[in-house]
This record gives sequence, structure tokens and C-alpha cells, in this order.
Amino acid sequence: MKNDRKEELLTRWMDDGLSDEELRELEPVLAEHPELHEERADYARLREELRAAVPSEIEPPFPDFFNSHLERLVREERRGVDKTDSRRGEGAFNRLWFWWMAPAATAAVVMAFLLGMKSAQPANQGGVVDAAAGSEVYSPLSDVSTEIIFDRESDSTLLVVEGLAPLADTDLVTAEGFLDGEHGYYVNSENVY
Amino acid sequence: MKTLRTFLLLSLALLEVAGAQDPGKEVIGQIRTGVLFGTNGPVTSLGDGVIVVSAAEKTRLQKVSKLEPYRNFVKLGSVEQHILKGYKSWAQPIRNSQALMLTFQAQASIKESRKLRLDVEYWQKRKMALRWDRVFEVGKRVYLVGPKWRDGNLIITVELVNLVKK
Repeated sequence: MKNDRKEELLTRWMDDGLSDEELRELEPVLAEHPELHEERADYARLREELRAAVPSEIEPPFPDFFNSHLERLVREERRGVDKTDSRRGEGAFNRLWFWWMAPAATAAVVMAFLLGMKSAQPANQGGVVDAAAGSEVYSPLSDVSTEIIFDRESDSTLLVVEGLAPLADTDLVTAEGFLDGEHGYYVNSENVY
Repeated sequence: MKTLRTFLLLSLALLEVAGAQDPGKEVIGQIRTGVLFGTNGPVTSLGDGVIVVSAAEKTRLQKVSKLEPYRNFVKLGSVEQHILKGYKSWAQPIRNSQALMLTFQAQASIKESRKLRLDVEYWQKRKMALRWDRVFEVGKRVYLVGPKWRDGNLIITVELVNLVKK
């Protein structure tokens, strides 16, 4: 059986999507790799746990921002898997492994994001990330576009934002003078996300 | 009467202990937010308290094509405040003007020292206009070239002043 066909059948088998005929076609592969049954059971268990833990419908606070974060995490996950695969050099079987793990990894990312939304504290409770990780800009306003400029000479970053509505003369209070201050507000982020 | 006083004192003490135990209130750093204004008009019309920015900063800003036409750059106001571990900090860099505000929320510790990942939101007239998730480094100023105002352009600056060592 060709690898592409094998991938397709195995992926659908993981989701209980094979007809009887297709199942018969896949049987030799399953007989050759009995450990696949265990993987499938693990995958089904993860799926059930996700269904139990995550509400069937939830509206993310900023869907675009959610999607861009999710895409970035999936890209990073894929890069990591690709590196591992090329290092091991185990051929087509690893590709199959990747295709099964991609939905599971994506589900795990979604799960982590949703749990993060529900958690009382933000994700800074001891979490460590790489300082080289890229920055992301998001605007809910469709007219707004951004450009990031890095000035090497002064080692500073400028984010140029186009499309913001101009502020009126009265929007900034000038009568009281522009004084430096140490005023600020703090809002407990508990239950925000 | 004595019992009531004891009860009140105990309640206050308990509230204080509860507040002290809130791990979200831990100060992890200090951030300064400022508003600059690029204009060709006379800066005297802006009233007392404005500070002309340094020549170096002016040169830096004029590298941005959007700001290139402006001859004068002044600081309109700034605010310095704590970054708390589990709280969102709201900065109001111009006193009594809520048309322009920023929020900061720490996202994670960074492997290298002197750096912190922050979720920054720019709010304009009570609407969130922009969210920026990036790593800030102590002492390195970041500029957000923002909306037009009067005959010029507003620029918001954000600088991580320090981080609390653990």
C-alpha cells in the first residue's frame, strides 16, 4: 500500500471514519503495527477528556487574536516535530506519527488556551518562555494596520499604527498642565479571561 | 462594646492578612508610560509643564516617515507604576485624560535577566484599539506612533524601568 493511502486510512481510522471495506484494506498494516491500537485508544481517551472538560460552545474574547496565537503555537509545534523527524531520519513512519500527533497537539494547545481563559491568574505563574519568541500585534479595528520598525542605531523599537481615529482637541485635558505623575490603576485579572 | 471593638479589630486584621497573601499583588517590576507630541506649531500653546525631547530622541522619531515633517517634539506627560504579578495595570499618562490609556499584564518570566514579556493594550476613547504581546527589556524604550491630535501626531512611549530581582 502506498504511504499516502496508508496515511489517509490511518487518519480516518483514528476518527472512526472507515467503511468496512477500507477497514479490511488497512488490516495488514494494523497487524504489522499492533501498537497502533494502543495509540488509537490514547487518542480516543484524549478526545473524550477534551469533550468533558471543554464546553461545547465558547466564545473567545478576541477570536482573531485567539486564531493568530493558535496558528503561531501550531507552527512552532510543527517546526519542533520537523526537527525531531529529520534528526531521527526514520522515514515515512514518522510522517504518519506526525499526522496523528498534529490533531492531538492542536487539541492540547486549545485545551491549554481554554483552561488559561478560565484560570484565576494569568499565565505568569512560573512560566518561562524564550526571550527570542516573536511579538504579535492585534487590533480589533478593521481599519488599523501596523508596522514594526527596529532602529539599530538607538537599539529601539517603533510600532507605527495607521488608521487610528484622530483625537479631538478636547480629548486631552490641557487646562491642568501636563505633569508627570505616579498615578495608575490596578485591576485584578481574576475572571477576566 | 468591648466585644464589638475586638470583633472589628479582628476583622481588619484578617482582611489585611488576606490582602498580604494575594500572590497576584507581588510587584515584579516598574514601567513608565509617556506621551510625546510631534508638531510644527508653537509648543507654548500647550501650556506649562511640557518638556522638549532630547535631540537624539528627536532624530530617532524623525526617521519614521510619518513623523519626519514635524520640527518640534515635546513630552506631554508620563506615569510610572508597578507591574503586578496577577493584576492588569492601567496607565493614564496624561492626568485626567482617559481618552488615551494603556494596560500592562505580565505574561511570563524570561530566561534572560532584565527582560519581561508583557501583554500591552492601547485603549483610545474607552475602546481597545491595539494589543501587543512582546518582550520588553529594562531601559529600552519602545515607541507607539499613534493618533493625530491638533496639527500633529501623538507618540506613546513605554519603558521597562526595572525588574524586581528574586
